[in-house]
Amino acid sequence: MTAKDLSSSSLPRRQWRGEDFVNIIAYIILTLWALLALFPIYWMLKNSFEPNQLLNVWPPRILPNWERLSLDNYSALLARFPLPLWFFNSLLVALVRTIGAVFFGSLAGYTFAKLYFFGREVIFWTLMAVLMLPGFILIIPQYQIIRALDWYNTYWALLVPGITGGVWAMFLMRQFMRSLPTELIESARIDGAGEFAIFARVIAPLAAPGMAVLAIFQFIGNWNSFIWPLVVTSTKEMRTLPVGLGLLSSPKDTGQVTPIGEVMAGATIAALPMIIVFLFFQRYFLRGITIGAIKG
Amino acid sequence: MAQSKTPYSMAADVQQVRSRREPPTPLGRIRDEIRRSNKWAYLFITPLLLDFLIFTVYMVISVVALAFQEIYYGQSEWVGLRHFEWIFKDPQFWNAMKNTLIYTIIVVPGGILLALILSEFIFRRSQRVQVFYKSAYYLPSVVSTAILALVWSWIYNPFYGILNFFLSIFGVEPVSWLTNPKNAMLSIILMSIISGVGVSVVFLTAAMGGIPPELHDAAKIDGAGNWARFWSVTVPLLRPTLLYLFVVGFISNFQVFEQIYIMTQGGPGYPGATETVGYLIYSSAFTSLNLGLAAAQSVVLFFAILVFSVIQFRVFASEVEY
Repeated sequence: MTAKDLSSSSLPRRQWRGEDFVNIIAYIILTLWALLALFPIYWMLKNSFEPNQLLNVWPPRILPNWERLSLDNYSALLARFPLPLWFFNSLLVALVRTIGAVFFGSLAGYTFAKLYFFGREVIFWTLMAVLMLPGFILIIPQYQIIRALDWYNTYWALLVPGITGGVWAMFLMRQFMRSLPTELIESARIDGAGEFAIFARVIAPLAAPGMAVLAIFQFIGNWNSFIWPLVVTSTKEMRTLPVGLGLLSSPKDTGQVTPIGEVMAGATIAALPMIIVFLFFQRYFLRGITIGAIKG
Repeated sequence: MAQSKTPYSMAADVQQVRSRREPPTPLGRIRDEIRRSNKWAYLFITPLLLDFLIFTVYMVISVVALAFQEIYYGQSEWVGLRHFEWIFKDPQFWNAMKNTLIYTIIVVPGGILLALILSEFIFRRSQRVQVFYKSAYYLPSVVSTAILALVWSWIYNPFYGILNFFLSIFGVEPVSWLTNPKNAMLSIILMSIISGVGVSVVFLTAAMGGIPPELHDAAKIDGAGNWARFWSVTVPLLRPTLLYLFVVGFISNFQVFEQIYIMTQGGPGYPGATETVGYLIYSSAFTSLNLGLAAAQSVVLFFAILVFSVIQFRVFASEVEY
């Protein structure tokens, strides 16, 4: 890693020495775009802590009004909507589905990468054929099957369909498992270990970095998922954070206009946990995201 | 012990066994392979296969079947091609298809071009500078689109919105971003590009790291400037990554829904200036309660996405031959 760092940082800098102005323009563009990307998040945070009388005014203040910052928007929103319940629903959906994807995805990925069985290639490529299938087009029959199973507006509907992480999770783990040494599996087998024990005790610990990447992306994806919980739930109590808060934008659903400070407070409650997860596991995002695509 | 054989030694064994005693019939070979299969493997892939068969394969069959039915409160009736005939005559559907195309054709290539430029600027910096900018660009992607759409609706507010304030500094009159049919789609496109560029930047900088530096050195010796090297060395070598970003980008943006649902509900005006096929499917199914029509619209959307994906593979494949 260090050798790579040296070559990518110090060497090219010497090449660019004669073109300092190109460098300056590059940094200006990079920084302006960074401000543009981060501004909405800053604006959400800042507006969530300021009273509504300060928000619906012209001209708006760009910097926070430090003396007037408070948690009033948060308490007002909490009094109006079952936010702790939405938070719990989001967390439950994200956790259960992430655990499901990591467990079933790793197990299937390991099987396709390392075990031999009749029909392996046929089954694998049948699964891969739908990897690019646009999920939206299946929403209508999926809604119908949830109705038919009598799962509408229940946790079953939120948790079960796609709990194995689907083909994507399997493929990601298969790519990761392929690089693990097969000799370890063989020697564990000679030592008399059962097939599941080999997966759980020998393979799983070695595949932990791959599982971490899968877990982080699954957790964020499921926390943020919108259309599925929107379609299969109907009561306030069953909503997840993005769906419950999304309805704040249209008074026809809530029967009242929610003041903008409270909307921003709700947005912060939904967004902040993911921003924290991102900052914590930054490294996995900036490297892990490309595993599936590049090794492909 | 047979279970521990890898596919390669397996193949060799099968050859040997066949030449010695097994009859060389396909059936005999299959029986032999089944005997040598790791039986646990079938158990290990069962959960994935069940999930796949029920919630994907069966759903694909169902959506096609539903497209030929009329559904009234649980009762269904076969109506043949009636929904498709309706769709092809329906100005609302064609308006939605046009909006979806405009949205996708600007957001995907526009976003990738921007990401390419940003990646080129980022790529040669020190590790710390790279991580800082990549993180900043990536951050909006970890926030739910629905939540970003709430924040952007406030940014676009015509009376108190911060965007109109910034523009007023340059003397621009207040703009109705989401409520004027002329601006609404543009506003949604802008939000989508700003929020989505980070993912492409991470992919492209990773791929740029895989380009051997010797190629750039050779081009430099030949007298190629930065700009020439970017277009004739970097971009052609990024083709596999670009193909991936284009295809995945087109597939996901063709289904755009959340921004529309939160920010405009398909409006303003009729037919809606921001109504996309995804939003139309949703409102056919859950506002008009016409599941059969929504299924037929889904099938048409699928074929539109398929055609676009094939075109992209063709374009990227044809460029290889030079």
